[in-house]
Amino acid sequence: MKKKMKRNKGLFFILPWIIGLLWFQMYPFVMSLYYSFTNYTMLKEPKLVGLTNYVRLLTSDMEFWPSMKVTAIYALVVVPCKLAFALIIAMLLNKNVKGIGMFRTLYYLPSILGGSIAIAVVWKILFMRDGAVNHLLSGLGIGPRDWLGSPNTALGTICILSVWQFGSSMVLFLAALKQVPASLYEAAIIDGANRFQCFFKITLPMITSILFFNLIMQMINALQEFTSAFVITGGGPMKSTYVLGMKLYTDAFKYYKMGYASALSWIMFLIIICLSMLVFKSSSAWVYYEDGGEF
Amino acid sequence: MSRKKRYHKIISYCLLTAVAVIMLYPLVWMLFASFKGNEEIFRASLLPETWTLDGYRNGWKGSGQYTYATFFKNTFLMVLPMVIFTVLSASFVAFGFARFKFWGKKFFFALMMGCMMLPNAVMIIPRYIMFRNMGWLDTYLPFIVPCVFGGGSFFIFMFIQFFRGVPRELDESAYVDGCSSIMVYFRIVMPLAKPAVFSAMIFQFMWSWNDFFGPLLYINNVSKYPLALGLRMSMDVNMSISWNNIIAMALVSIIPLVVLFFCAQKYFVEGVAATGIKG
Amino acid sequence: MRKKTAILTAGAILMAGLLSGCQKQAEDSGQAPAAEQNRQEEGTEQEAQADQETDSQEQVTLRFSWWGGDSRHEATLECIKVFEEENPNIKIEAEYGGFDGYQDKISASLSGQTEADIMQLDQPWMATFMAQNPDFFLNIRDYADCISLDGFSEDFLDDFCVYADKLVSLPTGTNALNLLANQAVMDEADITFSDVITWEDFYEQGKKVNEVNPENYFINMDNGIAFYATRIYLMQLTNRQLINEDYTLGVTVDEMEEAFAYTKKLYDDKVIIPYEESMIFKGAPQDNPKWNNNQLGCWLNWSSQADQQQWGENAVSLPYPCIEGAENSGVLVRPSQVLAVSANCEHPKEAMKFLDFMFNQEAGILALKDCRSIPPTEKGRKILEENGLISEQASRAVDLAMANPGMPELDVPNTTEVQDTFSAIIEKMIYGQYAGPREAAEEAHKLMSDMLATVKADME
Repeated sequence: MKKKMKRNKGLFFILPWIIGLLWFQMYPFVMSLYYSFTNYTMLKEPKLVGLTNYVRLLTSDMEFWPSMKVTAIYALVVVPCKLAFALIIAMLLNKNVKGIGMFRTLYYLPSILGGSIAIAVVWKILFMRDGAVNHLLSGLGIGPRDWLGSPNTALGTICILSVWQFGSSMVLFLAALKQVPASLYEAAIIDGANRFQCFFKITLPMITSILFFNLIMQMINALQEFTSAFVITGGGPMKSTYVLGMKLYTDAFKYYKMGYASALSWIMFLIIICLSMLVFKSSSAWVYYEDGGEF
Repeated sequence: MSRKKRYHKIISYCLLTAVAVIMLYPLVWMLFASFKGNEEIFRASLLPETWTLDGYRNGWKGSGQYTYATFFKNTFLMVLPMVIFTVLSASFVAFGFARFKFWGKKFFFALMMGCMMLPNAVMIIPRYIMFRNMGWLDTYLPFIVPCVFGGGSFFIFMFIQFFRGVPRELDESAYVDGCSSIMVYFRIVMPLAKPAVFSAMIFQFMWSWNDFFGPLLYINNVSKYPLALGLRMSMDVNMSISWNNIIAMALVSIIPLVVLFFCAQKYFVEGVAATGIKG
Repeated sequence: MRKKTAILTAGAILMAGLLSGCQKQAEDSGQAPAAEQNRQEEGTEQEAQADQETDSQEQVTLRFSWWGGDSRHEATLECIKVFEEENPNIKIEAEYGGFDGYQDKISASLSGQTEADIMQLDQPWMATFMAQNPDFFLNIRDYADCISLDGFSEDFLDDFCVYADKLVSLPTGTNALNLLANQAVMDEADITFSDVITWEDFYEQGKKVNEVNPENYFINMDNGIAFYATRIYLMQLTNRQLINEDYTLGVTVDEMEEAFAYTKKLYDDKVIIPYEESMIFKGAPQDNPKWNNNQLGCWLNWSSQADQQQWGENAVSLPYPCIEGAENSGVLVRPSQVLAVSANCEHPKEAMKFLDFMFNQEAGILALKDCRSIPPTEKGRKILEENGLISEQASRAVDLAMANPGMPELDVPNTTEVQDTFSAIIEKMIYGQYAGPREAAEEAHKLMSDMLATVKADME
């Protein structure tokens, strides 16, 4: 009897979440799938059009593939760079250096602020023709460039903004590194291992679970990038920063093509799910769980 | 050996310092630029030649009828309820997950973790339409109400991780003393979960403070603009004329975050690393 | 519940009618459903407001959104101030910004029904909006007792503001494309134009500015305006619409190629400021510091923008370049912008009253000055001229254009998306993504035809 009460209690506690799940996640999720098969424009009743939206997107949309490419480049640059930076700095900080707290704080600061529009605004000013970046580079003898005006560099500036925010990943790595028992290294050094061997044979395997977590979350975020492209470059020049998130916004809220944009969002969803699955599937090969990862 | 070690240490320091300088340069530049006059913004020197508060004075006036006081007020009106409800509801749900066995628990837990990976993009449009049909546009309800119902997988998971570290014996003895489970949640577990509460508060504060996309979609009336939209409007309204105003206001808009960060660093860095690590 | 709202609604409308000084008679069928629908949606807040309205000092708040540069913001805010002083019960909330992104914002708010009560819109967008929902905006003729339309040219209204027999907007002014040039820059590069400027001459002489100083350019424009230059060239060349009423393209690939080739030539030979540099100032080319620094010679832009310079005596309005012997001057004359009142507006009469103040009352006209180009009414123009408040350049630009106006563009099939595609292709061409103008023209032709076909299919 008491046990049964306790059973219900658990459900009672998670009830708010279940309601929220159905209301704000499941319902929109299902509806967006439905909309993606319609020509919904918000003002007219949705009419089912089968796969038309998907076909149009994949075959005749002038912006879809370029936008995919931009997003892919963005994710491929940002995710590895961010993780690599985070890991390298975390390892440097893990050496019991004095003032580690201060460094950690300073490195973490950009992650706190980086997502804000304030920083996007400043970024735009920094990279303008007369901006601080060009002034600094001219000191190195590099002539002024239109960083945001050239299709070759605009995406790069946005990538830098994102990589700049490696602090949060770094903190996670740092915590993971602290948990690697020092005895392992000592034993390895006695066995004559060098630094690289230590890194690849001990450090990396011991932090794979956190690396895995970071990788998935960063990837999901990168593929949905919107704010910095929207504020700093507006998707230009020549759509060189027109990431999928921007296309979604434009199609839905400028051209009113809600059904079409929903189809786009589903394509994004499928890509993210496939990539996540891929990472998950491969994880058994490279992620090492100390405690077997049970819940 | 020890010499080599010292050598390594010096290199580490140099590297760390160099990276820190590069990383902080934009912020330092921003700080000094906010004290420059507009014509000085695009000059090479980092420090202003003449220090002035014009950027702050004029920038604060915002646009026409609304000053940044309005934008600040709006941001708090939006963010504070979000923070409070998130902490309450996420910890409540997490308590259920961490302390009880119930039908379908594994399934629900997997579902919750899965939601963390559910990309937002796929739900933007139906949510927008739903909020529109409910008449919630141009209010802060689209931000606040979801926080009342669980507040997001990330926070629930964070609390679960923390609660697992709180010894069960404490609740057991409370039950023996005749406490109901709600009382256990309020009296025993929550007071012990202060670090997690702070972490959750700080993170939710930071994320919602920085949020741009949500307000961009849901808020249209300037009198309800939060800072993010107010700043963008300032940028649109007068491009060349007053960069210094914009930089000054950008700086002002992140001050609460910076202050919070420096005050609550401990919870930020260590709290989260500790709770997030085991994922 | 429904009954209660209905009664409150009726009460509110009645009070509004009495207090705004309008005659009650205009409470026709046209506005009531929209107002009621809106009221039901907003529930309790509405009721609270309705309760207040029983008070004799009814406070009405209207939201007015527009885009523009600083001079327009100042003038409009001043106009609002004067209006509020005259009508203490009406408060106008101003929502304004730059041009870039304004359309997105308006589109999103219209679909979300959170739009401002009074909106400044660009006339070419109306096609998209009206295709989405013919009832977005109120029919201004239903409020004839609140706003006088006597001063407007009926033809002008018919051409640009009437959709399905409803007058959904009013023009803010007469706008004409013109060539605004800086005499100082032209003198320095030794540029002289004859009375008729051909595109060839425009190009040949324009080159000189960059030759004299490699940091300077003759034409200042972002891709928004570049798009216009190309289109006007096409119109002069073909004397046809770019897009026909039946959703087909009105020009051939060859013709497009010629227009594209000309635009490309301007960029290649640095007659126009490079895209890399102008991109940052998208939507506000006047913000480029070079503009007021006598480093940029001219722009091909609307007369409503003619005051966006600080050149003093050196500012001159020149006729728009043309192809020799073209039947159609291509020079567009159209409303600078239009003002429309949302169908969701709770206080339509007050909104109309404000429009009337802006267009017909001397105090309003004097406050606004020519911030939206030459006023659309004779009276307005006369008042400004008498007070010397009209920009000489804008005035001359409109006179020049009126002397030989081009065929107005059809706007119905001309949706935002089609226009965006056209300018995206020009942008790609300038950045050298095509082998040449031919390839760009072919792609433009194909993509725009496809897009028009899908737009048409969606309409049916």
